[in-house]
Amino acid sequence: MSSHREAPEISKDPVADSTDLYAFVSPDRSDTVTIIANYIPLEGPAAGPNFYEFGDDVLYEIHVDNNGDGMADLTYQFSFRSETTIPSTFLYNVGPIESLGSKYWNRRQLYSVTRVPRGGKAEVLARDLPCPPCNIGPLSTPNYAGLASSAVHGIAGGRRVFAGQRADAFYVDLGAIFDLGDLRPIANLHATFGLPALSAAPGVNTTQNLNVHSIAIQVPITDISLGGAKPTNTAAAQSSVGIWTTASRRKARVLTGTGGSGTETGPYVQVSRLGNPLFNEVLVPLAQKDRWNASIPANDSAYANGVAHPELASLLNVLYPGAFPNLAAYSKPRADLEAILLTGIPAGVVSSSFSTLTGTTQADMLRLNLAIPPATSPNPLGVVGGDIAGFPNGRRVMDDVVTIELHAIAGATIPLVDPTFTPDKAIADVSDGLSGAGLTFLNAFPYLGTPYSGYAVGPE
Amino acid sequence: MESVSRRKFFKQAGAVATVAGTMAVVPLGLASTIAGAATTHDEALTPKEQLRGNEDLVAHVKNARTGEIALFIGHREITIRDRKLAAQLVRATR
Repeated sequence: MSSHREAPEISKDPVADSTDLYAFVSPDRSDTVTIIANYIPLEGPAAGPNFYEFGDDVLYEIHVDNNGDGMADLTYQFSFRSETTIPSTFLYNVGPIESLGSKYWNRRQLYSVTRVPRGGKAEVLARDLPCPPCNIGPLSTPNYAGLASSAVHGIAGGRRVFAGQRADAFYVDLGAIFDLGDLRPIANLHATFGLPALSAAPGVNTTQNLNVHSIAIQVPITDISLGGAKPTNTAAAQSSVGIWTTASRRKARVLTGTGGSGTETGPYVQVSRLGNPLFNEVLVPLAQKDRWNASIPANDSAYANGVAHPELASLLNVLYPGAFPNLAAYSKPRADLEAILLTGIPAGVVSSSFSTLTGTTQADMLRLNLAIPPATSPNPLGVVGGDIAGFPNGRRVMDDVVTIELHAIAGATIPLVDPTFTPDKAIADVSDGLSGAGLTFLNAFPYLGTPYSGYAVGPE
Repeated sequence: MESVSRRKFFKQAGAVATVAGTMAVVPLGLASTIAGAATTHDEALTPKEQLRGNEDLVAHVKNARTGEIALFIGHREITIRDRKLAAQLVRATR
């Protein structure tokens, strides 16, 4: 998945496990940028009596690099604390929750937001902002959409924040892909290791009807841009910023044996990181994934070989013999993937007026050109679909990043940097067979759809 | 991480051993208290030196042979090297 359970250790720590990162110029407020960091993968909506919540013991951060060195020039920090207001009951709520101040709501979370400029003084932007409850069902959380919208908070400096449960917008046929690279639509071409042949079939969305917990912030473009200026030159490197999210835990934790989480002390240490979707999941070897999670983008040249020579591209030739002859014969480093994922795309590659380049430092960051306005008719295939306001220029909630990245790894983007290469015809069929049909989004902040309720969604 | 003087550390080490609610993390997963080590430091903490009410100090003996000990307090990590103290802590677990 994008980053839902991408590394061995962090997959055992879901509240600190980032799943997806989105960053885009806000379609309804084009002078602002929206950044959304999702955590807690694969939330089943029926989770009572203890519904999902952020970790009180986790420091969640969104970082912005605006000078291309792979280091954070600006960080937004989010810290949570939980309250149990009716200690005598075993229930999450003892009546309908119709407002964020409901007396029937037993277990709630509040959070603070802090802005930390590089080398500057941290500024607390807000304290004790309430999260919405999880979406339970028609008796516990009637009018959930309205209730959740009341948890969109305007804070200092024209910023908005939201932290709480959302429907997962990421879709992928995880069950097939990690069954030795089976892409159901072309399963009939799979080598199957001598086992009985598979039949082509439509994709199955593994994240269907599942939720995540989102941390969303909308800020003026000038809050994150280099020098606080509003970029206007879509071809200039100074117009693009790099964005990533991290989660950190305190270094020392001692369980007291008296219930609860014990005591924690010492500095925070990073345990989770996410920039581009699927980077750690697909391009970093399993044995290095948790180390990657603990490192910073500025050090990502250590992982560049996995980008220049992606294992998945080699596997395509093995798993689908004869389907990718041109890709099989291509031995040069994948400069297309290095540009897309590690440095940004220079002007002149896609067009003379388009760039996501941030510099020469190889760093996995979600790069967003702040000078490019939002699209009026977004194409989920983003830049490869002719829509330069979409991935890999940032990432919008509807972008089909699995298809885009599968096509790129299969060679579709090589001609951008090497016109001598002809993509294999089979690329057109490289897909997990999903299009995001059925997903719904909000047309305003925080954009991600209303989470599925436990009452409405049951086992299939 | 920050370094700390030997004298300052001995005061803090006294806190490890004597202040209620303080825990030490030692190798091999041993989790027993180290009350026995308290007898090796007679100099009590002054009121100003005491840990604050809910403040925890955790010591991690990273290498008993070299005496490398990491101290975690508040949002800080302080590394010291004191073979004698490390030996005392290890002996307290025996």
